[in-house]
Amino acid sequence: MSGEVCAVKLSEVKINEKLRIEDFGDMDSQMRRRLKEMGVFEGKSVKVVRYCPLGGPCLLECEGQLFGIRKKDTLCIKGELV
Amino acid sequence: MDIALFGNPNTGKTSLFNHITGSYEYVGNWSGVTVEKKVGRIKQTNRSLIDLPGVYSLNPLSKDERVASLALLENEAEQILNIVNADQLERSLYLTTELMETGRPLVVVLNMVDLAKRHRVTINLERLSNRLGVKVFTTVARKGDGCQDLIDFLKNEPTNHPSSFSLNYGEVIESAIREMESVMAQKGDTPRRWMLVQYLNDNGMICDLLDEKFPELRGIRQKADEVLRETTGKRIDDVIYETKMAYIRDVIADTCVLTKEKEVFKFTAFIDRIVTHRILGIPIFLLLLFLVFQLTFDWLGTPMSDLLDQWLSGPVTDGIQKALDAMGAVPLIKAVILNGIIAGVGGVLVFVPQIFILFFFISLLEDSGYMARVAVVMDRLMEFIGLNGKAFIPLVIGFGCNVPAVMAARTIEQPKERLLTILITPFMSCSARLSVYALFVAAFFERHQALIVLSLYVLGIVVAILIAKLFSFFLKNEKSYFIMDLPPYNVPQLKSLLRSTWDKGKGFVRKAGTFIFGGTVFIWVLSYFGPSGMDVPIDKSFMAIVSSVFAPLFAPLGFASWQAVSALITGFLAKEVVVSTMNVLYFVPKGVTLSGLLPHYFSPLAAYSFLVFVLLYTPCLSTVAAIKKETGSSKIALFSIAYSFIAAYIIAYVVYILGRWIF
Repeated sequence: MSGEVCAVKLSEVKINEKLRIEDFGDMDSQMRRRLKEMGVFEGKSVKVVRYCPLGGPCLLECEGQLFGIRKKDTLCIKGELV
Repeated sequence: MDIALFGNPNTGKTSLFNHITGSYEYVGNWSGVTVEKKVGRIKQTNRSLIDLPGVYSLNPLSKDERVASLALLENEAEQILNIVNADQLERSLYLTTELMETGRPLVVVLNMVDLAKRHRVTINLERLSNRLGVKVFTTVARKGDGCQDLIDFLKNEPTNHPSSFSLNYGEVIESAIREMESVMAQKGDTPRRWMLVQYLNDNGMICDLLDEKFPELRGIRQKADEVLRETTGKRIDDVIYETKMAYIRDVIADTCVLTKEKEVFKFTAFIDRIVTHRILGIPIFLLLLFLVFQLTFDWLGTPMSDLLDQWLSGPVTDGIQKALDAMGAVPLIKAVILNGIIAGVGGVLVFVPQIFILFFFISLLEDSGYMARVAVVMDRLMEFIGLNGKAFIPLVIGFGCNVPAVMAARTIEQPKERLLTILITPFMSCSARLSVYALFVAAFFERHQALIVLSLYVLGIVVAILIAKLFSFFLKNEKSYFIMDLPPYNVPQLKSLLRSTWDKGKGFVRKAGTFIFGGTVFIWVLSYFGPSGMDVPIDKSFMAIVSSVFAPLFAPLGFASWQAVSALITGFLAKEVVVSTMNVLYFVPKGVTLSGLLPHYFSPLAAYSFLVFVLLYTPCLSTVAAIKKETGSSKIALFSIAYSFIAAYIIAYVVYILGRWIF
């Protein structure tokens, strides 16, 4: 599959663009678990709402639900632009 | 039969609790306001309802979340009331499946059906109830819609059939469960399937519990994990999660119709564009804080306090004096009541309006959903000092009172970040200290009241940041992570706001009747008696003698008067006592106010240095007790007393020296 080749990191996604998550990479396991419990897992699409300045958290939206995670975690999430 | 209320954070759990139980509990809008176990009586019944902290699953990350799982393990939750966010059905039902696995009687409450309707989601209730095998109710808990039906049901149907619900996790996991069950059965334990599923799902709390009794289980889990990885390339917890999700999606596909793709509500998106703005986010927060202080002091609070003061020192004092004269009270009793209690307790009570106004606005910020945004906006800064954005919420609550703030730190997942937050929380200027500022700014800084007070609040924050940074070098190194759920904004209901304001503020009024009352009488006695008997001149009293010993210690800070030192010593009881002490010790003559008298004893700079010291020194007795309880360590409580005293001394000294150099 070409998935590996054209995978985009969430941190590279522009504001108002959507990423379909394929892989959580080496994200901290507790962090990943909490995201799953909040309904964010492989196959879901997340939209970037805002990046906070100075490398602050990133605001995301998934199915009408807003949440914020740190920049270093957006580096782990990879997927495909939709 | 006790019923426990389970649900995700921000699903209106506490609102529902308030509507269906007679008593009121406190409502907030960020994860984990319900930090303590709260029990209410369901209206028109004699059944108890236990309110639990919001959780996403039975697998706890924070100390707060452990409470919910403990309620199941310790069988306190015999029956379950599961509140589900109708607007976020998929993720809400994840907890529901975990709860259904426990086999306990369960009722589902679909809350926020109004939001779901706005997102054009239609839910077939009857079918959902059939699929889940449980009774389903719908409510809009914020407005109380649907709550009566729920009460009627709970009233009339005391027995619920335990639901027999079980998911098939595939052969590898199922055979691991069977193997574990037989190990436990051999040792005479009745295995509970839900606990084994949680065990395989790496639920730390359940693993600790079972590993201790049944060390064989670890190997079984390991084996199953290896087999799964080899055959499917997946981890056990992923397989369990996917099985649950497949079930949930099937249920939703069968019962719900979604006519268009979900989006964030326009109103929420609009507000968020402003308050979480890249550059303006933090300034907007500071501006809001400043506005709250303006309202608390200049615009609303001070005029109200003045009215109350006139009433207390005029009609009330006169009335009591006449009553005492009429009863023929002896001079000693008259003195203790008029000069001790009324001066001391009354001096604190006049700040009640200001304190309630401040609590009202803190409740408003919490209930609206803004506080969660502040946590995100502040995360970068907090990360820099070794904390995360969530720690900011206890700090803001600390502006009201440090005691609930120390308790609110429970929602922080990492133990060290939590400890650090607890240690710096007392630097947040609480409402008790406000009464000291209010007294002094009226006496010395009449034209810049809000600004001077704001400077103290900001100084508290800056010191907290510096100390946190300093401590984080010693306390470091655990993985820090941050994830914050941002609920849609809602317009807070006035009734619930007033109730939560009262809930927070009543502690202050209660303190006036206990600590402050007792402290005032004690101070008065020490100042009325001296080595030469009673009714001695105040500077020959025991109070003066004891305080004079310590007074020279404070000379470098600009205030070496024995009265100021007495006020600081007694302020350890509760910081408002500083004001009552001064009211008693400076013996305010009739027609003069204490703030009119203070400029004879302090220079403006010394007054500011005194305020800085009051802001930072030793947390009050109640806060120290809360620190001890929350950390479970007397050493940490003692440490917090010592280090904050030292920090206060150094900083007040620097302020005084710098001030003298400038002015």
